[in-house]
Amino acid sequence: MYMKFILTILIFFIVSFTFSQCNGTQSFTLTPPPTSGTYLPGQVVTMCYTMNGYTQAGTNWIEGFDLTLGPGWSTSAPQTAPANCGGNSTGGQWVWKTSVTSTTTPIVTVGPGYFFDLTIDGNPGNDFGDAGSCVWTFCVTLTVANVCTPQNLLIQVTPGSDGMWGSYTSTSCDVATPFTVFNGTINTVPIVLGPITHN
Amino acid sequence: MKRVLFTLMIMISGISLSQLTTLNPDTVCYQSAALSTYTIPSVGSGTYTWTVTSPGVITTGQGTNSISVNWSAASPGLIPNGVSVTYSSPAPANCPATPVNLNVLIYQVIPTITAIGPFCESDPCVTLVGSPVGGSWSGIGVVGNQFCPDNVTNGTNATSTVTYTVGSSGCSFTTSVVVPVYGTPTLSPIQHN
Repeated sequence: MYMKFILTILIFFIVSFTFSQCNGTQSFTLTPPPTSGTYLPGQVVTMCYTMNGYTQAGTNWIEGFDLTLGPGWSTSAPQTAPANCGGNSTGGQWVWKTSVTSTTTPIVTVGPGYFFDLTIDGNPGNDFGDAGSCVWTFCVTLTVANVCTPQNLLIQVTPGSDGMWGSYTSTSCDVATPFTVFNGTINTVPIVLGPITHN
Repeated sequence: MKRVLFTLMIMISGISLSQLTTLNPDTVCYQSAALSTYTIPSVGSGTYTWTVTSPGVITTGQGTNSISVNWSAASPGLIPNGVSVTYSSPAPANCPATPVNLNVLIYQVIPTITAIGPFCESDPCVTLVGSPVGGSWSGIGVVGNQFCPDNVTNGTNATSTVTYTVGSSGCSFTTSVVVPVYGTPTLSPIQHN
């Protein structure tokens, strides 16, 4: 029993070392804020997300921020992109992409979201990320679907390294941990009409 | 004890208020040409769909939260759910609301006048009797609730239209009778030939 416990602890440290959690401190704002965990059909919401700092384990750089949206959102549109941390002298830029496919293996496809395009060729998946440890902030505009069913309005942001979504080969930051911004539903409270008055 | 009394007073006043604010059924005067305006509080910029029982006619406002209705052709009596409205939120959601209904009472009172006359000009005033009580009288020869024949004519034959008006629930209903009044005959002087 004691040996089993030791083994578990050991495995935990090995995994942690191999796939480090590289993300910095994450925060967000929702404008307007939800009402009792809901938004109304057709409502337009601005979500701003910030990640403060990035641990560049294995020289992994931040490649992008992938959005996971519930079916209750009808559209997502870019508003303001993160600022270039500028850690790499070759420049690069943050771009909004609906889909990005990695070059490194295993090949994965993510998006929509903001991703770092180091070579500015329109494909963030074939190069490295944004080097350094900065404060990255971006905003997106989300629109609630015009439906009468209480569909889910999940908003998750998953930061990813260039070893996972770019062309870098290190797996030191291969832990994709979704950061949940919101997990509510569309407000479909029945519309109640007031009494008819005659004047 | 004081607290119990206070609670009772609150309950009684609540009951009274709810009775005073009762809007259903709605009352419309029979054969009134005035348009009735029906409104519900706005709940959004969607579409309001009104239904009015025939022969009521929506004259304006369909699609909005307020309409005008012409009930002038409706027969007296209660029209269950005479006015209904539902709402649909803006497209493409088109979420429906539960309809709201209003009973409409086409209200009529038929006044009657107890027959009087014919009169001679010299007859004394008589008290007019109408039903239901509480109405008002008008016409030539009418003084208050009395009919005075000598006020109608001065020696000739004439008629007076006497009208009885009853007001109730904001409506006004009238009925009239024509009363003949005969002038006092005048004899010519006796001649001797």
